[in-house]
Amino acid sequence: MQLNEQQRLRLAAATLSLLGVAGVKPAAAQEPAAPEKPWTFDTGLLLYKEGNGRVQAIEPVLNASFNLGGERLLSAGLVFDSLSGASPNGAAPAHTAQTFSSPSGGGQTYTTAAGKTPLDDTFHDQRVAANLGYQFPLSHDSKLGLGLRGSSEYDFTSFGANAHYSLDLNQKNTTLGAGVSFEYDQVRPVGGAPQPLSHMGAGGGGGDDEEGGSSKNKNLVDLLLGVTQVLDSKSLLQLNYSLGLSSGYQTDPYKVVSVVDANANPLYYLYESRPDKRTKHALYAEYKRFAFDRDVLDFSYRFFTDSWGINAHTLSLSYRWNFSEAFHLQPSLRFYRQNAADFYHFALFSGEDAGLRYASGDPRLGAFTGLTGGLQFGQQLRNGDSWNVRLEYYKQRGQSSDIPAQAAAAYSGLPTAPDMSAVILSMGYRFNW
Amino acid sequence: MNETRSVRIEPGGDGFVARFTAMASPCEVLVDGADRTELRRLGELAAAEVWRIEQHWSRYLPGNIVDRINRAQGAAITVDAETARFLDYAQQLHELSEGLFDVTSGVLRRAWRFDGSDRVPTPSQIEALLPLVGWQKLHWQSPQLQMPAGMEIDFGGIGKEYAVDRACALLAAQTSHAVLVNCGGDLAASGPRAQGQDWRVGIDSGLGASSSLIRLRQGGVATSGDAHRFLLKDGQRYPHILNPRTGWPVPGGPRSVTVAGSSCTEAGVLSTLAMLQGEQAEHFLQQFSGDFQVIW
Amino acid sequence: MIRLLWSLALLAGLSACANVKPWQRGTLARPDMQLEADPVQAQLDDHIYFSKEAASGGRGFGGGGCGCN
Repeated sequence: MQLNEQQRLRLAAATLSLLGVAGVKPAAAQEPAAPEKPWTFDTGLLLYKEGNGRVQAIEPVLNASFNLGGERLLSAGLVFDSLSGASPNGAAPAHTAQTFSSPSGGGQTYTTAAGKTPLDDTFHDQRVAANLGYQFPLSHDSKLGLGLRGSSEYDFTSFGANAHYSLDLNQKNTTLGAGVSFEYDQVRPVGGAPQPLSHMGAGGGGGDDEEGGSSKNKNLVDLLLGVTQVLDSKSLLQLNYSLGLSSGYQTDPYKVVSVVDANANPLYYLYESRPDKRTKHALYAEYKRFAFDRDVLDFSYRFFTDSWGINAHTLSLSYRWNFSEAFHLQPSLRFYRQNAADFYHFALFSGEDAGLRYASGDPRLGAFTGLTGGLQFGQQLRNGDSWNVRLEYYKQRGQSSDIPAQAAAAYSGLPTAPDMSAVILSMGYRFNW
Repeated sequence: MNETRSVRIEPGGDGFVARFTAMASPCEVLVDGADRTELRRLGELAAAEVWRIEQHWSRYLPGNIVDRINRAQGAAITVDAETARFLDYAQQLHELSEGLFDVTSGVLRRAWRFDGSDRVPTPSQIEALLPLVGWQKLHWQSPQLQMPAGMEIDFGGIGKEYAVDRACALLAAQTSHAVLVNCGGDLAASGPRAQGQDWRVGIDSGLGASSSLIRLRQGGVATSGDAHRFLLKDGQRYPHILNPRTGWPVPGGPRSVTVAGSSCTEAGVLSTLAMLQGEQAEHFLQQFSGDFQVIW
Repeated sequence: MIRLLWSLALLAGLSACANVKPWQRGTLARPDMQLEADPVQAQLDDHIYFSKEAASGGRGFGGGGCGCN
């Protein structure tokens, strides 16, 4: 180490500012003690609203963690989720008005106008979810996190448990992680779970309990392997691989698929049917870099593929502009693209449904592109609290696919690739106590 | 901490000296030309200030700011203004010294006990402690300090020098006479004595006969290195000043370095850094035109 | 499987990276340089995209436990 002239001057200046404080106060002039703050509260509120009177949601989040000392952390979280609005029921639009039986049964129906994408506007839900976690060191370079979670909706209950292990290597330049998660879900469809691919009775209740009662369940096992590598003093890279195995009832009991003639007229509707097994793979890479000695650049890419024939690419980019000590602005962009599941059908041509095992018209299993643009503003307060607010616009642009060839001409004037857009406002406040 | 809290006025130097004990060191206050009454008043003021800082930043006093920071277990602690200035200083020193000066290095004492024996820790003992050392692992945004659990801060490396400077400045504001405060060889003088004479201070480096005389007009003098705090194994001497980046002392360095600077604190920083240069200590100090004495 | 092998090869390559010494790591310790710098926002994002898109996973275990998909 060489102490050059400039460093000598800096040392002198620093020492002067330490000692040369105006007005040397005698003893006893001491500041009051500050309290300790072992609690961290991380709170948030999400307001979500889709265009054209579709789904809207409000979702408050409260996460609390208590520092037990010795790097042991106890945490608990609570989420409420309240949704309402209309959601596509999977049926194809038609040149005439269409009437569907309401999932709530009792002979109630809803009608979709000619030329419109059928939406089930009886959709509403309240969800509460809670989680508990405990994280502790196993040695000076490894730690284990354990978690339990549960959630409840009026027709859906979920329980889960997970464990995550991480190991620091190479002077903490490399961190290896491995995790496993189990989940058990139970769905109790209103009016009972319909027999997959059975006819939806126009005006009749959907329930057909032949398939074993009103309650269905599924199990999920997820594995996560990852490595985080410090690249240099300003950047790091994370690579993850995740494997998801699910088995059980994965059909959406409220969704149907249209069976149509050559004029795109619906002949009847079949309750959708999805395979009992699904295997999902995801590869995820995230790169983070401190830029211009001030800002943070974050780039991530995910490749996803599953046994249902869906491949998806997700790209995310954000730039945190720390334009002052306390404030930041963070623009972000996210691009997502998926192709359709093997069993996705925009509609089935009459007769095509015979002998079919799986079919779904759920647009979420169809091909589409999603684009999200957002801007976050945040502030770090002098007392250590921080808050932020983020406004995003999310647009899904559908791509026509799996339209029966025999009816293709008749669909030319109908919305076969409906768009969806949503405005997302989220706020967060974090404080210690 | 069982030092007796008393200030004694005793003959010394050219007249009288106020003596007290603080920070495990004998301290003395000299006021050029003051009578005994004024010397007692100023001596008590200086002692109160040094004791206050000792209490404020002692590692051994439950409930003080250092104790609360060290027991925060990762929680953010809001510190008082004086500690905040000190942490700002620690941050600048860490940067300036490329990590050689680090207030978090105290945990290394769990492995190193400089008792003159040959009990040198094993590399794995040091390796195990290094994750707990490093100012850069702290999040310091005045007035809040957040430190990963298991780490500790310790102002011992520079706290005494700071206390000496503070006491000296406090007295200088209270009297027109020139003042010198000396705690165990770390000293500060507010200005030259009457008729422009230098202060002449004997520095006992603990090396017996090699006790030396230092002349000082204004500013500070600090000494690093200690004849009694080292380990000796296989002919290799391990001084008690550790390199926080490696967890080891720098071999081949001097036994003791005494440096004069514009303040006692600055001199303390320079003498500590010089000790960490090993064989290059003298060369390091020659880079700037300050008085220094290196004892090999 | 080929993709998996490719990713493992990438991991092996990483160990050749320059070591960042602990005292050079101040920047990486910044709260905004953490991989999960804003867990609440990440949690909300996971929930939205889990209910609106077919793909999930990769980053962590977020998004599940919902009858929305």
